[in-house]
Amino acid sequence: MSYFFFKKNLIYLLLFITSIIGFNIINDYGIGIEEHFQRKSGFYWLNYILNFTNLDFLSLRVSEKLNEINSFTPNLFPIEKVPYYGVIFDLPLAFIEIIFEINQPQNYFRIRHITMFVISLIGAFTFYKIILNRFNDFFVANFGFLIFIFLPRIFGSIFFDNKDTLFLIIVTFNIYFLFNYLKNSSIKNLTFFSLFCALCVSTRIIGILIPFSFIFFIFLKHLSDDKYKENIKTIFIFVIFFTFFLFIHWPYLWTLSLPEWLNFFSPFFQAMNPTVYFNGEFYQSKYLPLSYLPTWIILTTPVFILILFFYGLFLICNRFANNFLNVESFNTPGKYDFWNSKKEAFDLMILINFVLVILLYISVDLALLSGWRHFYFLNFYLLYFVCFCIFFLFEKFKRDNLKQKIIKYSLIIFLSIQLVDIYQYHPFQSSYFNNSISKNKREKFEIDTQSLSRMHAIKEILKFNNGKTLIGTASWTPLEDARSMINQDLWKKLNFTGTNFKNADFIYSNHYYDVDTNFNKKYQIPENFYLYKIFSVDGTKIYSIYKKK
Amino acid sequence: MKIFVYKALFIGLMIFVVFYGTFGYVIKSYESKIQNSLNKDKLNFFINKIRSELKEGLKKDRILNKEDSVLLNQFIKKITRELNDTN
Repeated sequence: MSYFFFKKNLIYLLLFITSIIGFNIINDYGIGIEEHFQRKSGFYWLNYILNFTNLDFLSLRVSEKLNEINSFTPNLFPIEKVPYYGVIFDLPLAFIEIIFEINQPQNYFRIRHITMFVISLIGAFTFYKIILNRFNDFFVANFGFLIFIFLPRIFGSIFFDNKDTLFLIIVTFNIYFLFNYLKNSSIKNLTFFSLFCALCVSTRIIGILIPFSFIFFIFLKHLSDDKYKENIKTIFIFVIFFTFFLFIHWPYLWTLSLPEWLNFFSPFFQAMNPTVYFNGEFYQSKYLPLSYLPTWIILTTPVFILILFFYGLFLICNRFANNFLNVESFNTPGKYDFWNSKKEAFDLMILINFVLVILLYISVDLALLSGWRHFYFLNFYLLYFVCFCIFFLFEKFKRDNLKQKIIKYSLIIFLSIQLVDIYQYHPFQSSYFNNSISKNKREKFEIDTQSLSRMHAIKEILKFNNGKTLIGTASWTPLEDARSMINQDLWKKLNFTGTNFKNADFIYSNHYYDVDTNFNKKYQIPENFYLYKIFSVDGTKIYSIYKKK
Repeated sequence: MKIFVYKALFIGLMIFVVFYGTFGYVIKSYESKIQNSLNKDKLNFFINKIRSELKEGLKKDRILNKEDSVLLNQFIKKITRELNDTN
């Protein structure tokens, strides 16, 4: 009884420990490259919504904030060019900032980081619930929770990445409600599922694949059960609710004219950074090789997770291939062609979703950059297949206690090694590489794509230079934006010269470029500078500082 | 009917995968090679290279050697004569 009690409540202990760890290290992280832009998006849409109300005092404050943002970060990418972000996370945070009059940069960015961390914890707990509901195994569910939150690249992003990691979390919530709907096909569950589908789409347009896979799933169900009226009703209600929720919460849609509706998807395909450095070569972000995404996933995911993922994927595909081969031409009441239980139906839905993402990736020229963070949501599918594989192994060795224990202890050992890696990389886990790539070859890839190292580098420079310091930047990173996380008293000492190196005392580079540096020399370090410091973790070069001779 | 739909879906998926795995892949990789070799930085680099070579050439006393000058002169004259002789 007490052992069962322990197993059942272990998740709360894990949540508590993770929260303690997170809140203790949250201030070690710098500021992400998109955070200023995201914050501005929030105010942009808050301003837009307030225009429909009579709350002039709030509108005034929002305008002041927007003016302040424009003067502090004048080089931000124009919101009007990518206006579809910022409703789920940034708009509410902008509202909180206004209501509670949070005006210190360090404070409002910290609140954003704390909120993102709490959302990520809830996301990991939701993943735990999905796995527990699906497999009824506390070990698999707890292990799922731990690998979800402690996957190095994800752990390194949960404090500041409120776009790609947030999308992963929203996908997790969405799939949780999908599971609830498959378990109990009530209108309430369908409403929640459509709501989260809408939230998914407004967070990242690729989220539209989930509603498509759901409709396809209902179509497959219809082929087996012939419940014409019921299935049409489900699709009808789903589409109506989904469209309603999408319109009601996404003001971007309110602004579209008819020609923009006809061209709805094209704005989502533009790239912010035209050049991407991948495997030692420069590419245009729209013309990356097909190997881009698989290479990144293989190099930056712990090897044991990859092995379990591939095996889990094979098992699920194998099961549905067998079901496909055994389809009968007539329908038996209560029996479906591709699944024998609601849980298997859920597996199929996940597989359809995953396959659709892959088909989209191979068929469309997506403008990718910054590693594979746009596809971080794939971690959900990856980890689901991992859990499926573990559960399969436990089932296989159900009667062999020794083998089960060997699997459990091996998993715990691998997880511990992963935690050691996380500790070693701290706070640059978002630049994690596994051991399948040698340390020299890591330089052939973009590393600090989130530009987290800015705050670290500035503090480092200030340590050795007490007077006024002029710092140049030999990379695409807007170094001056890192001031937001540095004490305002120190701002007077800092002067940023950008790529004008003539007057600079130091040059910072995180080796992240927007141009082909073989042909464009704008980031070339002048000869009167020498390499002052290289900061690396686990052999991965994060940033360099050059000092005037 | 049901079996026909499943088969159609399966064949459709296979055609899609085979197309993008073969022709699509080849087309994409050539398109990628062409687009990536014509990027703005490379073009600017070569334009600047030509500019600097021209500037270097202007600094010299003579760009062509005597023999080439005579040869080019005769060639241009011949071409001009032929262009004028339109009848």
